[in-house]
Amino acid sequence: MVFGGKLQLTTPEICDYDSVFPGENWMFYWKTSPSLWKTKLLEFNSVNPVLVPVYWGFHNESIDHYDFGTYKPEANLKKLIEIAQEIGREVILVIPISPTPFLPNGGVPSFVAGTSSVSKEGLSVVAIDAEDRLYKMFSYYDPRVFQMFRKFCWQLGQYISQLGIKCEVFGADYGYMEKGSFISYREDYSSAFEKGFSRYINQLQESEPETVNESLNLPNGERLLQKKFEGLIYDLYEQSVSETMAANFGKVIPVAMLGGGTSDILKNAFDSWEMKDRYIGSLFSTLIKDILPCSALLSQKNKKGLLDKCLKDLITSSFIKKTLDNAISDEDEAMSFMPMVFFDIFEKEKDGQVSSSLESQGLLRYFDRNFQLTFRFKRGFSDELDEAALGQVYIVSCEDLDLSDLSKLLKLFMSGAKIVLDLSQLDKAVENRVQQFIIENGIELEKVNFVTELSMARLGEGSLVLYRSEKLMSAGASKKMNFWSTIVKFLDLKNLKVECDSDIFFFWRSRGSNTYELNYEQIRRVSFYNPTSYKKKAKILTTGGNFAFLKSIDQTHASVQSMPVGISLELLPGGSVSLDFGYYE
Amino acid sequence: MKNNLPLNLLYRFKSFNTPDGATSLYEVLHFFSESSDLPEDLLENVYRDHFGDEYDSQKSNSLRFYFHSLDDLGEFALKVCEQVHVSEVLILSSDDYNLAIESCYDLKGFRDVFRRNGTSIVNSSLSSGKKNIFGKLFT
Repeated sequence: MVFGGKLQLTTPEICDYDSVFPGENWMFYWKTSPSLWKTKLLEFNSVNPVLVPVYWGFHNESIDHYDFGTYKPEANLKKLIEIAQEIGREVILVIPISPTPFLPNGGVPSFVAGTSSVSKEGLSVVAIDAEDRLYKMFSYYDPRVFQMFRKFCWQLGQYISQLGIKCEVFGADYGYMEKGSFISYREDYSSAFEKGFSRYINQLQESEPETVNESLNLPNGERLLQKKFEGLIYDLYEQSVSETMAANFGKVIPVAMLGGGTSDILKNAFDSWEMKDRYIGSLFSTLIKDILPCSALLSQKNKKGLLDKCLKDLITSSFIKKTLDNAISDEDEAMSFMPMVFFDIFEKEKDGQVSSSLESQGLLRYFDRNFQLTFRFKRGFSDELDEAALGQVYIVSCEDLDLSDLSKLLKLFMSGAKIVLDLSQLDKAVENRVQQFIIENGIELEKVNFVTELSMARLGEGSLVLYRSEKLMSAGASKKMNFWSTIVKFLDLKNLKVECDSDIFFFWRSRGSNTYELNYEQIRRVSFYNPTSYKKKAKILTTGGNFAFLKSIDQTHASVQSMPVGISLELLPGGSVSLDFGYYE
Repeated sequence: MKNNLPLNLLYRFKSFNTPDGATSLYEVLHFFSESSDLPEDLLENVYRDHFGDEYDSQKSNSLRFYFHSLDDLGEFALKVCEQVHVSEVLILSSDDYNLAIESCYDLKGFRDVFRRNGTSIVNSSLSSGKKNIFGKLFT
């Protein structure tokens, strides 16, 4: 190779990490010159949409100074969007409504970055990016940060509307996964939060003294009020974006940063740490919860191998579009595999975590054994139930279910959904309404006394299961397993049983059948990954019926063998394979 | 476990009110080696064996491993060191961690936080143990 007239004998090093496109369709526009935007976008080997996180501190370096390309060409968002559109790329602007871990100061302009964010453990919240830079995060509860954020949103809104920029705008709530739960970076225990919270309590004490006193007398009352305050501030940030960019605004999406938790950062700091399987579990958890995973904090060294394969296999353009709630108009996209979720579990949250009641009922253990990663916890009722998908199972065990939530649930049952309701947790009036509904609609309940009081009914495609959890909680482990197994049998859920060695990861996805697959209602794909250094085995049992093995794909260091009882797999270290099954009624 | 790499323990001081009055303690936040997590059951066993009283009341509050004095915390860290045959543990408080973070700008600086700011406790049973051939020659 000849460079500048000299013969170079070494092979040029191929840099497989691109700081402008750190993964999952994110584009960090400020990291390269606008003259390279077109080349970069053309080189970018992925499909729409391109997610462009707006770097607040970059556009707003000092008070009342906003730059969208006047001084720094890299800040010219209009140009970026035009270039992308010119080559057929769809750009989505993503505005942070929480500290952003891959940006200096968490994205906050330095003139307003005053109070460091503090985690629940009392530690300053920091992140280390893929290029080993350490970023400190600053509190979004500082009133000055909010004022400046609102001003910035207004300026950006004006810029978008006055220049007639045509692109969608989404809010991003950045966070990380910890023990299967999403923790937002807006969760903050800093002095700014404390001050804001005490101002809120003082105001509340003047307007609603009884509410405050009642709440503070509850065992976890102060934490509940803190959560309420946190939600209130979150809404203010969201409104700042939605009101100033109303014509372009979609919604706020949760974005889970892989490697963004404090414990991840402490360990990532040391080279000797085994990284192989650290983030695969977290990645799977985000997918079933409609959280957008982002690997921008992970270096190529930490990503390469199975994690990289998982990200490429699972974070498809269709998945991103679905998470953003865009209409999937393209027929090809409608036929894409999406994470498969059988159960939505609604339970009251305690301190941001799902309470232990369902654990005591043995449900989580049963699901972990039989429906691994095909169930998820839901927080609020209102919006979720309006968008409910038919055929889905809704398990409701929470005392704060009100009459309006109940009527939504019952409407869903009438239109074919499967509902499992814990009567013990309900308010008396809500429980009476359930009984009234059953009588009014002449629904025949099949009553059994199995471990606890259990009533089951069917109406067309819909199923309704009512039970009382008190007795169930004191039952033995095997009785609890049998109880849930009976309910699942009644709900007529069909899924293939997987038996595999420990430390193997597997993930289910499904899609509708196409014109060549009319014998099947649905195609289900299970992908296996072996991050260990040992050979591992797995079996998929097809003896339950309703499934036909179609094909194996992406076989890497893996062997697949068909057996009378199902499919047997052998996965060598780093091996992976996906299997497709047709589901028929 | 690689015994040439130290263990790292991050703790915080916590004070709160109980029905019996104000109390304070030291809670372990993160305890890890530079190559892997420390097995949870090992930590549990050391804690139960040496701090039985705290262990009994551990389940009644949401704290995992806590101690009434820094000496106890250090003793716990050393016992774990002995169990996993590691020669040193670096102990750092959350306040010191937060201060140290202020002057960190990259991974290199972050790596040194425990070494530069932590209190080192040496596992003498290992450090004064058998010497290798060079050790014998040069003493």
